[in-house]
Amino acid sequence: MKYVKKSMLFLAVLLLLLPAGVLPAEESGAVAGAQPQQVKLLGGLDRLIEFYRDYDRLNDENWTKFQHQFRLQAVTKYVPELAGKIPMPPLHKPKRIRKNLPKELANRATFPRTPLPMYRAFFDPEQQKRMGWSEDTFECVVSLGDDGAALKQAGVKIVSLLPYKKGSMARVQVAGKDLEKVSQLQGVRSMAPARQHELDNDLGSRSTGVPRLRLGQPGHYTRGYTGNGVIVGLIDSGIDWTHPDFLDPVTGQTRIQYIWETGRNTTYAQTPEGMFGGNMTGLNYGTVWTRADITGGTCLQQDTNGHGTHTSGTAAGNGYATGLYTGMAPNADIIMVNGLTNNGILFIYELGRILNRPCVVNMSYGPSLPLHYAAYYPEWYPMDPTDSDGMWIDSLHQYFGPGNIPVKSAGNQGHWNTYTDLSGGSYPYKEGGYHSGATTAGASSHVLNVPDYTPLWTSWWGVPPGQYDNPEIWMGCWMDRPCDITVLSPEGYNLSFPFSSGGGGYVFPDGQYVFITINTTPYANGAYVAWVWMVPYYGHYYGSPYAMQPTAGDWTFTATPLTPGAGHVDFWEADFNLWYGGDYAPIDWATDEIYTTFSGSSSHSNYIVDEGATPYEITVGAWTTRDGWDSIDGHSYTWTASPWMNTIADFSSPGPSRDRFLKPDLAAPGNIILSSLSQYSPYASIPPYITPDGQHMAMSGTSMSAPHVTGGTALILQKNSNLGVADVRGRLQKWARNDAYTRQIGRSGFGAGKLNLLPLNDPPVALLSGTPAEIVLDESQDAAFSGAGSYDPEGFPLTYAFSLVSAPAGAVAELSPSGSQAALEVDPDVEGTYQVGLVVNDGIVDSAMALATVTAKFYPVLPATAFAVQRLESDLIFSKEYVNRLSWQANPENKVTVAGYKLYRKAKGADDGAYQLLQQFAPTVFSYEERGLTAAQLYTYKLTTIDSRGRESDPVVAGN
Amino acid sequence: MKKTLILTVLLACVLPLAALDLDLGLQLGPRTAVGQIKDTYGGGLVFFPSARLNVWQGLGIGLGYELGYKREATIGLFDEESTLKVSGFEAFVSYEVAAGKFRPYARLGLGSYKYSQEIESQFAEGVDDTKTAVSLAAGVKVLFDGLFVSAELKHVPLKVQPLTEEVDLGGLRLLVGVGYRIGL
Repeated sequence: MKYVKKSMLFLAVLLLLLPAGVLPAEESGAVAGAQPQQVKLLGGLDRLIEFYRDYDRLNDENWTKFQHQFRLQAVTKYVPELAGKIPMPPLHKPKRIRKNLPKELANRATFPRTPLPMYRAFFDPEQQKRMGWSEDTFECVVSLGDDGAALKQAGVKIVSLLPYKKGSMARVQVAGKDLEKVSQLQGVRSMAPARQHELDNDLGSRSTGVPRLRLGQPGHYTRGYTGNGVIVGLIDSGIDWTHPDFLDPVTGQTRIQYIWETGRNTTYAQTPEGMFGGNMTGLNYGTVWTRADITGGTCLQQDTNGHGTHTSGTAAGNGYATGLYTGMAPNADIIMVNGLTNNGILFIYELGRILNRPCVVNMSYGPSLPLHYAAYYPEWYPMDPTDSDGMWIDSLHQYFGPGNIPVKSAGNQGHWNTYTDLSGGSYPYKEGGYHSGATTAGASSHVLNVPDYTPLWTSWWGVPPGQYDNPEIWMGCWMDRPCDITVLSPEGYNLSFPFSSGGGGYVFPDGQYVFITINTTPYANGAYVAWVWMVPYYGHYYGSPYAMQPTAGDWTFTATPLTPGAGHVDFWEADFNLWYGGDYAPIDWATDEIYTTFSGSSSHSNYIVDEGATPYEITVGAWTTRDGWDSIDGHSYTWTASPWMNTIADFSSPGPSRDRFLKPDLAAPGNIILSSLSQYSPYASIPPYITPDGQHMAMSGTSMSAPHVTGGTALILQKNSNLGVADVRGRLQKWARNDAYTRQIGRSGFGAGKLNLLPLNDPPVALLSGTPAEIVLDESQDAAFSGAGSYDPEGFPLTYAFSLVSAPAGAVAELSPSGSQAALEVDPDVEGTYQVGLVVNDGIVDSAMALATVTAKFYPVLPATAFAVQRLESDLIFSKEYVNRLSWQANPENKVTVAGYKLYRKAKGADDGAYQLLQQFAPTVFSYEERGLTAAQLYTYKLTTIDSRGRESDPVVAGN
Repeated sequence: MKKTLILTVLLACVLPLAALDLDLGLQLGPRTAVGQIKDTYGGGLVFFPSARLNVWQGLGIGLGYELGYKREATIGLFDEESTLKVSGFEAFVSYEVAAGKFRPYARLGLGSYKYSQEIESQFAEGVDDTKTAVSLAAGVKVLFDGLFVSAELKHVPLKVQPLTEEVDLGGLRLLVGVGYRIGL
């Protein structure tokens, strides 16, 4: 509903603004005639200047009068035959009308309208306040052809000034009254309002494989990829620094290094200017809370939204609170910029430079204008590398170098499906749409079908049906080269709007009014913008024949390039169901097709907008990993839609960029993400969103998907801190996972696919050794293999998988693994070579197989050598003892393991058959003495060698 | 042995016919060894207690027992511990010349000598045997009233062959001693 309200306000105010846009410059007094030739005012700066001028003279009482006057003025100019014949319609009198409204409608916050809603949309005063700026101060991005000397001399407040492409890029803060003057300063190439942002937060979820890349306990991860040494910066709604997920469990101190609270000015705390100086002298607002402030409890910053705490938890929470919902980079240091300003990137990069640390910046926010406003203000959606904020970010990278990565949410303007929410309501979410595919190689036609429908109400604001229920059609148009535009109505009426004419207006005979404005001045990227407005004229003053809505049927818009060539023509339409009065018409959603649709390649999805469409940021879409959650209130909640699980999230902006580059770059989990809950958040008092642990909550949006990539990028930078944006994007896209869902839906929503960080992990290395190299059969059949030398670069524990790769033909072998060791029992009867393989796994990926071989072979038992008998005599005085001393040596040629020796003896001269076993010796015994012999006892000895299996060698003989 | 007994009986018959003296004495002194015994075991100290009855004109008969020779030594190729013991019982006849206090004498004995060799080896056989041999001795006594001291040189030629080898266990003894003559 937030966007609906804004839509009302914008549409109404647009009526005020159109005359200024469509009238020739000299009549409208627009800045176009005053601006220097070399200056290009980008992104609506010209309108901003006008709005500022008109700010004081417009008020709530006369805005309706203005819009009708401008309408009349325009019709009179472009349809002169009707001049003087058209009576002024009765003016809306908001106060009077409010008296006729039902009570519940009269109390609506958006009624009556605030003056200059467009101004508010571009520059939300509340956000201005959060940024620490006054309401009439505007931040602009300026491209300079020099070093900004004129800016400095003029005393313009320069937030940052960095060299860029033979010139420089600056962010300046300028009072509204000085906007035009600053734009005309020497050296200014172009100047555009810096975007303000809104949080990309719709709903809530998680996943990517990262938990497998780290070791430890929640809150205390000690090994692997944890973001250690990397700064995760977030530009968001702040952070609940008391949340335990951001504490270091070892030191008990916070992991948050700095919080820049842009909207709080104190006299006792420093600003970024106080920290940095130099090029950052413009960052002299807000308060920087240091780690000491946080640890000391003096930090006053609170995340009263909850969005920033949630994204911080996803990107860098460590799960210390309850052991649940650990973020992507649990050991990274955190820097939070509380305030949705791209200056936060500068702040974080500069701190990264000072701390000599790589950093990644999460930007889970989008433009403050809903996307369908591209139909109203196409100049605000350049959506290509010439985007001023994008170029400014590029200048940061040129200055700070690699190791500084911005990650951006793709936006929540996707309209993939119909979904139901907690309340059970069903929302056919089709807001706006674009028609693309036509090129400027030749004339391209865009056929818009306007359906017929029947309003349900009988009285609205006291006005009968048919009087104010007339929907309007708004379209914006981007052309890469000048085109003439023709319009063919369903009745066959044809109207041409030459490019050179700048457009015009025409009332068809059926009362349909078509009004086209073509901006003949190209934008920075060389493209041209046009607006189309189709609205019924007030035929009811002439009776019923006049149509009360855009004529149902096919309207054909043809763009014919003046000089055919490469490029595109894109028509954007706003929501057809916008009631003229500024609200949605109460139409029966179930029975009426109430959308205008382009035929052919019509799409109700959208480009990626904002600087996220540029190559200078990594842009993240969202896919669905969860369809429900358990709540602290004891219930389980489920959201359903079709398609749902594993598909692109229904809200995720599908891309591409306007210049047809792939955007988003990839997709990450973003639906029903459970992450850290800020105690100061309004959600803290909405139990259904809070998880049973009371410390986390569910949120959804590309806001939730971006911090997955942010945390993942921190892991990449932990491994290699010298990577630039293109390097990181290349890796993420190369690693991205594609499955049936990404292929089914198409890559436009998923980008390169689903975030997958497992390839970050280096595969383990298997090392295998086998002993012995040769198995001597008959002696033993066992070989031992060891993979203990295997290792993992990340130090993850390994699991071992041994396999018998090959064995001799016919052999039966048994491999018995045990941990990093394996025993192989070979076939005792078969000679040959056995090959054993080892693959280790670090929990993520297998290593290459390491091989080791052993050869099994038979060998005979060889006899001992140097076998000899020595006859000795021992004199005992009364008698003599004779001794036979035998000695031998082990045979070095023996391959088998000698188990011992057997000694046989026979009387000297006796037959060989008389040998009798005398003694058996251990393998380490190499001598023997036979004592107690008499002189007559003479013998012959035979010695054999035995192996472990009892086999005897041939004998060796010696004797007396 | 029979001869010894016969001679003893004859002497006992004539003893009452004359004045009788009985000499009780104890002699001790070193003895020598010869041959392998000398090389292996060496000499030793022996004791010789004896009793002599002067039966007629310096002629006397007596009994004595030589003991005390026990030697230990390692023998053989394997230096095994061994012990050699020799002792002997003698019956003798002696003649003593009266020359004042000095009484030179000579003695002829017949002894039964027991010898043994113990070897601490499972492979060697020990020796334990007896052999009869004569002994010859000459010496002098000096009388001091009843007491006397004596010194003598004694030789026992004793060769034995209990096993395969003949061994000479003989050797000289140089003995000195004291005694007491009792007139009967």
